[in-house]
Amino acid sequence: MINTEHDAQADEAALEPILQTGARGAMMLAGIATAIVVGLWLAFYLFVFLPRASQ
Amino acid sequence: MTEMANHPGGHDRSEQVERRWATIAIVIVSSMVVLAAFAGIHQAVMPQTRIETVDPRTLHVAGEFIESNLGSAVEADGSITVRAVGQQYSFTPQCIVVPTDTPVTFRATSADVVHGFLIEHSNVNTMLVPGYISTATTRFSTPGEVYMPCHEFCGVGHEGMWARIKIVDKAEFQKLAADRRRVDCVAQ
Repeated sequence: MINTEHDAQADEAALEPILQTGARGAMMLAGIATAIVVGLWLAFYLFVFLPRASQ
Repeated sequence: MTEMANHPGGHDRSEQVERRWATIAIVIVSSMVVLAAFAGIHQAVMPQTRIETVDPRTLHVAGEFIESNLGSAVEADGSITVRAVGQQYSFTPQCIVVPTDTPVTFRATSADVVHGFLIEHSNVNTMLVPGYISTATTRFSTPGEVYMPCHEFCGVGHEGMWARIKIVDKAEFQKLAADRRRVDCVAQ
């Protein structure tokens, strides 16, 4: 199965549209994960850190 | 690389995606830098403005950190200065008293190794380095008791190294300060 000539060609062909459009799913996943982390950071900054200011 | 070489269009596309992602990362980091600067201006946390040194070998014998000078002192402007020393494995004083709604400046140092200095429910979070004086200013709004643990691993007894901070009403603190030069709540 692995490294057969036929499969390699089929993979090449299947790869083309994916590379043209970009890995949208991966970007979406990375975007959501980053948004959650930055959102939590901001929430702590605004609702915990700043209210504890000395003035 | 070989895959990309076979698909020049795909190469362009991924370069575009990478550039866009790098832009997002730069925007996030820049906004965090701006917010950190705002925290300083807003007094949420102020980085120490100057370096002060102290000789850890004579700490207990002479100078600012002798035992009789540790604890809370009332300054001429009404603010409070708390002096404390961290050593393996305790803080002196073990129990600190501070008033509510008053600027409190902590001045502390270490007598031996690097210790952590953190006060619960406040933004005070610094390190005590032997030879240097760490300062941090804060204000407590509600009376109560908070813990002050060492948060920098300092040896086998590290987990048992912590002190208490008793936040009392302003009037009550004044009564305590009336008959003592330095205030603390260590059981006599």
